[in-house]
Amino acid sequence: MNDAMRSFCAALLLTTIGTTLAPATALATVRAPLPAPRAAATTMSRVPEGWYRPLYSVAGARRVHVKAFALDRIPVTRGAFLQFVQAHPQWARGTVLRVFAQSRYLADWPSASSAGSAVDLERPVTGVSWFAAKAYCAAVGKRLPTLDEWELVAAASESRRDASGDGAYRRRLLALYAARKPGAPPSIANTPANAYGVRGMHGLVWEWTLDFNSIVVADDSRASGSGQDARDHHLFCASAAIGASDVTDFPAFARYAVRAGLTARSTISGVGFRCAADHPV
Amino acid sequence: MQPGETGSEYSIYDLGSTWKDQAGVDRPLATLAGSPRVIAMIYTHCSATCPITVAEMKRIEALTPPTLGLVLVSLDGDRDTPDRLAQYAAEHRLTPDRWTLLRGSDADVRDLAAVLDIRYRRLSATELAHQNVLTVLDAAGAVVHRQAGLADADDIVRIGRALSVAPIRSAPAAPTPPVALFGEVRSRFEWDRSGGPLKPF
Repeated sequence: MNDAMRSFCAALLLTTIGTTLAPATALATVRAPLPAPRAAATTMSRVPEGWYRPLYSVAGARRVHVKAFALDRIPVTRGAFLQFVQAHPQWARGTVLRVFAQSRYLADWPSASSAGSAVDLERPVTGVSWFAAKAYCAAVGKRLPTLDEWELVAAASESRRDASGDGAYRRRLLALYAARKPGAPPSIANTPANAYGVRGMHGLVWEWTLDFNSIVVADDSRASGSGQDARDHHLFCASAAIGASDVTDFPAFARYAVRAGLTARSTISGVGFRCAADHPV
Repeated sequence: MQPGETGSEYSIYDLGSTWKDQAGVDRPLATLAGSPRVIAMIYTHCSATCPITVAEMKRIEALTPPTLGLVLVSLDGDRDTPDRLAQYAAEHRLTPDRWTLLRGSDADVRDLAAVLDIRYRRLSATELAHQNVLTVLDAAGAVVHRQAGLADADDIVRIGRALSVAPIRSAPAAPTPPVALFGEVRSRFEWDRSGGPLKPF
């Protein structure tokens, strides 16, 4: 992707800068009725404050500051989500209000009360809407990570916290994304930990973020634009990247394109989530 | 709306959140049920596109029956207090018989924007970037039409007229025959599309 293309896409997209979203006020108070399977210290990684370079940025602001937080080491599993729906039947398949989830909600489970075999229980849960993911995290005293938080941790390879300039690492991500297949996601057990001790950021499923819908195109309140829908711009930019000479940013384009295609009610088989918190829970 | 969905299988009002209106009164979303509504998310300090959106909604107001309600939801709950909303309504002559202005918590704003598929981001203490979307809800809160971008709202006027003469269902949303209602409105809308220029109602 050359500089001209980069600035073209940047012009189409207003973004990130300056504001790490305040954690939603509603999340903090709810405590889990669920039994914690392991000690908190082993299920979440502390992520110190840091900076990352977002894919889309307003000119002049190349790096975004992210405050210290904690992130689940692994995506939420089917087994953990099954416990959640048992404790909160309003989130069970067949019961969930349609405003919160499309009809394919948890559709790959054998039934509303069974998430499958012992092996299945250890897979990342998928087919969950943003609303359901948000409710799960609140129920365990956590919240969804912001897009900035998620991307900060996603920039880490096994050995470096910031591998964003590492071409070999990016090529590996591309291969991981390309290797994803429809159907049940692979087991979490075989995924390596990155430099934060967090696993499976790239190799398993796409993941919800709290503000997945925060990428705003130029047809917004502050700029005149073509008046087209946001997704058109996103897809245009993503496909432009494919043909660009420098594809090292393509993993990020892929993630942003997926987010741009989601709505809060989407229940896609390849989308799961993990939770975050201001402090380890 | 997603492909294959009628938009009528769920009600926005099922979000269950409670807001404050321009009179400072607590407004559970479900209190909007009972009449069809056109809903937009704006903020009153926005000087670029929000005035265009509000102007288009005033045009909708003039061209539709009084049973069609118009709802402005603030994306900036910090600054858009009920007093500020009342002042804004007075400045723009948004009368309470047709217009409801709402402010809510950040979390409730995020949920409503998410379910209306409106992308937005706070850029600073004073600025938000957001998509401009007009959404038509039936009397039960089901989405029957969504228009993104700044464009004339003739389609919304036609749909709003059709909804306003359709039988009003009891609220909140019952999971009964919304599909049929949608189909009826939709077909009337398509048929009406060939009509001449819109006249004031």
